[in-house]
Amino acid sequence: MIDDIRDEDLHDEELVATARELGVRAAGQLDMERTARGVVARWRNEQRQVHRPFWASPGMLRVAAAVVLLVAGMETYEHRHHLTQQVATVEAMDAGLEGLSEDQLQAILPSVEHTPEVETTASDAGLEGLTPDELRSVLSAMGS
Amino acid sequence: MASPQSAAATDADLIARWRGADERAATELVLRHGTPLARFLAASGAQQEDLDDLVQETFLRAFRSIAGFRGQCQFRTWLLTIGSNVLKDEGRRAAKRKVVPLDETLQASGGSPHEEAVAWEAEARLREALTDLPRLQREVFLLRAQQGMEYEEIASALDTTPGAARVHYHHAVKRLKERLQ
Repeated sequence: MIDDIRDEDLHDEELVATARELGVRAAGQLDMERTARGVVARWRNEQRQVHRPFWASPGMLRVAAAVVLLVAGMETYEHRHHLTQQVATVEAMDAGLEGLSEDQLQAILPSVEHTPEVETTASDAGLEGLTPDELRSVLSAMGS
Repeated sequence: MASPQSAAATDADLIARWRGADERAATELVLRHGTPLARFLAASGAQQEDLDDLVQETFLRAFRSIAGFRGQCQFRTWLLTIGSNVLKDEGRRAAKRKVVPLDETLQASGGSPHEEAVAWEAEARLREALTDLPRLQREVFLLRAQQGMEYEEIASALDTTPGAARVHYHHAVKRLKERLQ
């Protein structure tokens, strides 16, 4: 392929002459001293940012903010998750109700509502103020 | 701005001084190579209003990675290839180029209005045709035809062989001639 290329194919006076003029006007409109000052100023600015304390770099501050948000989010999630679990466990285990159907729960409900009343009556009454006869009648009632 | 000593300094001297944080060396490098770089960028499709920023960005990138410059090619050639990457990254291709009113262009130069208009038209057509070339062909063409570089130098900068650079140049010339006829 390289050998097939003739030198006359590679040379075109007019084309090269035009190519040499390309960009001359555009480049001529630039003030190269001003451009050089701009390059040096931008370089200095970059160097100031490079030499900033590690923790004060924008990247590090962004990372720190992200970590704080992440930790706070995880804490909130764990707290809520823990509370939900606790409530569910206490409700289910204390009542021994896990595995019961809705109908069974409905059937149990009146006795649950009733039981504390009896216990409350006995304990709240205060046995120390009762006469022996009264105590005997209470005991016999409890025994039955 | 350039001191008598720095005027005689080679690019290698200036680069060494720049590595030692001598800002005057950076200024000297910009003054020395800024205009050819601007011409290269303009020919590659950069818009006039972006040109100064692109030149600055190219020098900044070059200065950031100057440790990687081992003198495998001339500093200017290396700089032009960086400029080409900057232009690509910035997405400021000629396809988006704003049409510059003829009057504005002609104001900047001398010569008769007719000659200037003919020259301007030829350049505009070539710029347009260049934007349609594959990037490698365009770069090889500009480095050779606009910047007057040898194939060996172009090959070093573009990490290819002189033979391949010659082939790219051939294809570029052929396609440009077809477009301009």
